[in-house]
Amino acid sequence: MKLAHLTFWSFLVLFSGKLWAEEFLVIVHPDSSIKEADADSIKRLYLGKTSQLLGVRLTPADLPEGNSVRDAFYEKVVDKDASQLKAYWAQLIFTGGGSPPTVQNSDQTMVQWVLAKQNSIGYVSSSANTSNVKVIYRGSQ
Amino acid sequence: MNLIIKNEWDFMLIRIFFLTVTCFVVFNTSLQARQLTTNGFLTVGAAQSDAEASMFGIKDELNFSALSLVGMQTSYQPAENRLRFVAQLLARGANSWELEAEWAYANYKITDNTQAFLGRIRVPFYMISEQYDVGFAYPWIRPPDELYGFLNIPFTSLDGLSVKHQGTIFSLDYASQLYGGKNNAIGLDVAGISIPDTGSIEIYGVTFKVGSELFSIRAGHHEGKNIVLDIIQPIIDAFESVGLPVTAAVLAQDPANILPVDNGKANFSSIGFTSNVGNLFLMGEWGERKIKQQLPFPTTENWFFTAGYSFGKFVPHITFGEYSVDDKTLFNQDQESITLGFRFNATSSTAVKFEVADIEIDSAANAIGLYDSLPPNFNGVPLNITPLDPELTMVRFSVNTIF
Repeated sequence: MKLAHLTFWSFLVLFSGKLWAEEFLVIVHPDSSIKEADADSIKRLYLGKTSQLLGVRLTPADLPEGNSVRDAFYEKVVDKDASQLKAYWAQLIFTGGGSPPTVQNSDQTMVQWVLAKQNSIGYVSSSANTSNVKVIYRGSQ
Repeated sequence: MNLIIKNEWDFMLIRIFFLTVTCFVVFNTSLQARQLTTNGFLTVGAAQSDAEASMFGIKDELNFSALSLVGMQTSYQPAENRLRFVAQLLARGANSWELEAEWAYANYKITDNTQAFLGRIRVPFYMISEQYDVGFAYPWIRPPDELYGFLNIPFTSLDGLSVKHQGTIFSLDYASQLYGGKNNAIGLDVAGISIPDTGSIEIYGVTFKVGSELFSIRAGHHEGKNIVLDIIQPIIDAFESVGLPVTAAVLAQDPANILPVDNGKANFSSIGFTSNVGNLFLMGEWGERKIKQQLPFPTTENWFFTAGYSFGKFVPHITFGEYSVDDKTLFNQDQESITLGFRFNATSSTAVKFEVADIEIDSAANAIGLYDSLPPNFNGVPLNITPLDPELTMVRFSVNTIF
C-alpha cells in the first residue's frame, strides 16, 4: 500500500503544474463583431503573422513577463514557453521583422485598455471582472 | 573595450540616425516613452582548438574574442503612423570591438502585409543570415561555418532598398523579399591577409519562404556585380605586398584568369528547410556560390543539417556540415565537420551553450579547409606558414543574452 501512496503523491507532484495552471479569458471590445475565436487564429495574431482576427484588424496586448496568466496563455494558445517566445521575437526584432505586443500591467488595466480602444484584444485571469467587455475565448486545462 | 567608428560612412549613418531621432523628439510634443525603444543582445564566448593554425580566429590557445559581440538597437516610431526608424550598432570581439552600423533604415508599412526598408540592411543570403549575430535566436553558438563562415560571404550588409511581403495561402504562411543595393567599403580577410577596402559591389536578390511551424522551405537567389573588378585586384595586391608569389604562379598557369573584367558576376543560390515536430527540430540548408571570373575564388557548394530535441530547458543537438570547391588548384577548401552541442535556457532571456566540433579538411597537400591560412606550398613554391592539421577538434562555449 505504501508503494501505491508513493505513486499517487509522485503523480500529484509531477502534474501539479498542470493542475494548478491559471485559467484565462481572451477579451475584445463589447462592440466588436467577433463573437468567438479559435486558439490558432489568436496565436497567429499574437505572433505577428497577421494583423487581423477573423477579418477584423486588432491590436494585441500582453500581461507583463513572469505573470502566471501570461505564461498560461502562451502555453495553451501559442504553445511556447517564455524562453522560446523570446527567441522567436529576437529573430524578428533585430531583423526588421516587427515587435511584440505592448504590455498592460494588470487585469484591471487590460480591461480598461480593451474598453477604451475599439480594435484591441487582450487576455486576463478568469477571476477578473469582464462584465463590460466581450469574452471570445476561454482557456482552461 | 575599445570602440572605434570603422569608417566615415558608418559614422555618417550613425550621426544621421541620432540627428533624425533628436529632431523628432524636439518637434513632436506628443512623444511617448514607448515610441522610442532600445533592445540589445550580447554574446560572451570562449573557444579553443587543438590545432596550431587558426580557423575563424580560433587555435590552440583559449580565445575570448572570436565569438564575443554586443549589439544595440534603437527604434523610433513617430506616433502610431506607418513610419519607423531603426539603427543597430554592433561591436565584434573578432573585429577589435570596432563599432559598425549593421542596420540603419527607415521602415515604411505600405499595407498590413507589405513593408519597405530604405537604408542599410543585412543581406539575406541564407536562412539565418539576417539574425547571424543574435545568438539567443538559434540553437548553435553560431550558424554552421560551412555555410555562414566569413570565407563564403565576405560582406554582411548593403545600402539600398528592400521590400518585404508576407501573407497566408492555403493556411500556409509565406514571406518574400526583393532587394537591391550596394556595399561600399568591404574589409576582407583572405588567407590571413587583410585587405582594408575593396571598393563597392552592387548586389540584388530575391527570397521566398513558405510553410508552417511543422515544416517550411526557404529559397533565395542573389547576384552581385563588379565583384571581380573590385575584389580580386586588391587581393592580388595584398598577396604581392607581403611577398607571396601567388600572382606569378597563377599567371604562369593561365594568364587569362587573372585579368580583371568589367561586370564580373557572382551568383548565390540556396534552399533550406526547418521542421518542428513536437520537441524535435530539424534544419538543413544547401548553398552554391558561383563567380564568373573564378580565380582566386572557385565555385563553392556547401550544406548543413541539424537535428535537435528540447528536453524542457535543455536542448541537445547535432550538426553535419560540408564545404567543397570545384577548382582545388589555388584554394583547396574542402572541409567536413560534425558538431555535438547543447543549449541550456538558464533564464527566459539567457542561454548557455556548449559545443564540440570535429573538423576534417581534404587530405591533399595543398588543402587548407577553412583555416585562416595559405596552402603549405603552391605549385612547388613553399609558402612559409604554420603547418595545417588535417583533423582538428574545436571546443566552444558561450552565454547569450538579450535585453
